[in-house]
Amino acid sequence: MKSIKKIFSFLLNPRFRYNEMPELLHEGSKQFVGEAPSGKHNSPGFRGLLGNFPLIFGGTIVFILFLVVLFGPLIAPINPYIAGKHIVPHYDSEKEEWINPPLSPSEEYPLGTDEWGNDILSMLLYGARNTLVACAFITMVRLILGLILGAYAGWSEGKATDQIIMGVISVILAVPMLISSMILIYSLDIRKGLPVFIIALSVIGWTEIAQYIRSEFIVLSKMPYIEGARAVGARNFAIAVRHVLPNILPQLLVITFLELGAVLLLLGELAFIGVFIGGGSGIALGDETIGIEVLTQSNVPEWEAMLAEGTDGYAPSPLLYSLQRLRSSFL
Amino acid sequence: MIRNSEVNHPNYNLIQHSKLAWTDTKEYLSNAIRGNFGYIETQYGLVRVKTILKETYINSMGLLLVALAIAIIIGLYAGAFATLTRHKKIVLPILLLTIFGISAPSFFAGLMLRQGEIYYLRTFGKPLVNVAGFGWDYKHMLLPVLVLAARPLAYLARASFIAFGRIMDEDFIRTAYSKGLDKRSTVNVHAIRNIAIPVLTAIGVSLRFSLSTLPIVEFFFVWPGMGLRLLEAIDLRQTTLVVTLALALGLTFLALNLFLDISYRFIDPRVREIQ
Repeated sequence: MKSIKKIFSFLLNPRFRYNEMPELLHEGSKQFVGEAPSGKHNSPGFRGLLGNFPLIFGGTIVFILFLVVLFGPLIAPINPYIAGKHIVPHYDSEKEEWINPPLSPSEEYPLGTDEWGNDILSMLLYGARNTLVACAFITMVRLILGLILGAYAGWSEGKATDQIIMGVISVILAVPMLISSMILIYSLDIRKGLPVFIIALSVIGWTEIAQYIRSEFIVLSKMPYIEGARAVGARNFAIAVRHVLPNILPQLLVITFLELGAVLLLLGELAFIGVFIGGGSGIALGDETIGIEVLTQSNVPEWEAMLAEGTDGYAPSPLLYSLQRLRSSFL
Repeated sequence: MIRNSEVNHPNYNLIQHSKLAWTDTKEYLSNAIRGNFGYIETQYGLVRVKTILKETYINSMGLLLVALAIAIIIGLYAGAFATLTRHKKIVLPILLLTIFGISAPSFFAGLMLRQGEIYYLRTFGKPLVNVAGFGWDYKHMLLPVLVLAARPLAYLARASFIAFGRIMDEDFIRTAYSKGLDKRSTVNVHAIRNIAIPVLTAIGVSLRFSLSTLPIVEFFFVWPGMGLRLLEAIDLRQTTLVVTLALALGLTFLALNLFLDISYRFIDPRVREIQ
């Protein structure tokens, strides 16, 4: 643990190495350097963390989600990937009634079933992997792309590369993100599933992060300490990584969490118009004499697709509505 | 109906695709300059893309303009009201409402409004508004406009609250008060022109919000505008229609942004002086 902390502070805090190299400094100037921040005096400690209610609350939610992603499939009662595990409409001779999904919650199905007779609880537990993993990956790729391109544009402000990057950004931003991502997903073939979503949403979504990083870089690259670093003889890349990046790291953390929410929202909107992970396969109802109605059905358990199916009818399982409420509060 | 054996899998040969894209783009642009956007096949025969574009554009932009006008008027007034009273019991609920307005997803808001309308119909026996359909009256337009205006309204209220608050602390406002002006003329003469630039920027941002939620709202309330037609066209792979509609949306957005940028110069003399 200590060594990880040491590595991090080595990477992020340029003042960290001051006490390792006192011989480089002049005798008289030592009094201005001071001690490196050890962390013991500044941080409130573990007991201080326990008093922070919002942190504990949010941390618990994240921890539970993490557990669900890791161990969800182990505790799920039914595996939704196996065909034939759902309920079809049939006549129950013991109870003497028609059983027609969606079913309301019972002992067998703790959260009820959806329109196709799949158990909602196990779909939730299995779907956490798809949704959250997609969300995390999309955010990560967006951040990396936005950081690199935004930093490059901001560092070479006004040059040709900057103008090309800004032109690409304004072209991408001109078309609504929903439409462009839908076109890209369909053209890359939606039936390929998760990778297509990650590629499409991250190719389209990096623009706002890049704009923000660019403006921060333009401001910070005119600071006196950058000039000092250049006078010492540091190269451009080293200055950008060692001196500018640590200054925008706190904002970057905030952007990451905002972006996670935005990605979930976009995935939800896409699912709402019928584009979800595992989509693309349809079920045809009726025959050619009375007209065919094609329903898109997901064959992969995923939260957003469940949400979209919940909004389809006027009164499906009431639990899908509560699921929606839950999800939007999680956002 | 498409059967699994008939589905042709896309190939990812990039060179071939980019060659095809280049020739197609050239052909499309050279036709579009002459005013020929091509045709699409429907069950009623060939239909001109131009006529579809014209119809859907008017429908969409009408809805968008009404929503934006409502958002701008109510949002700016709410922000200004919250700043001028500065009473904690008024400011706090308004800010909480704006947080709710910004963070609620549009389809969720639409769903809730539709459920509300259905409960109203069940309890009172007659509908208050229509939950879907097209028409230029309040019955058809109320729900889509509400959903479309929610986020811009909240954003504009926040922006005007912040901008107004900053301006009202300035020295020249105190000078105006000490001259003996009342609150109304101080705000109208001295404050309003100073908040123009942040508010115009916020209007540009909220325009992007509402343009991006437009397809969702049109899909949800079956409003025959560009967004709904675009989603249909993407589903049916009607390429020329998709390109034309997306291009029209993008050009509208760019033109409105350009208009906002130009209007900075007319409203604020400081911008003119810098250049």
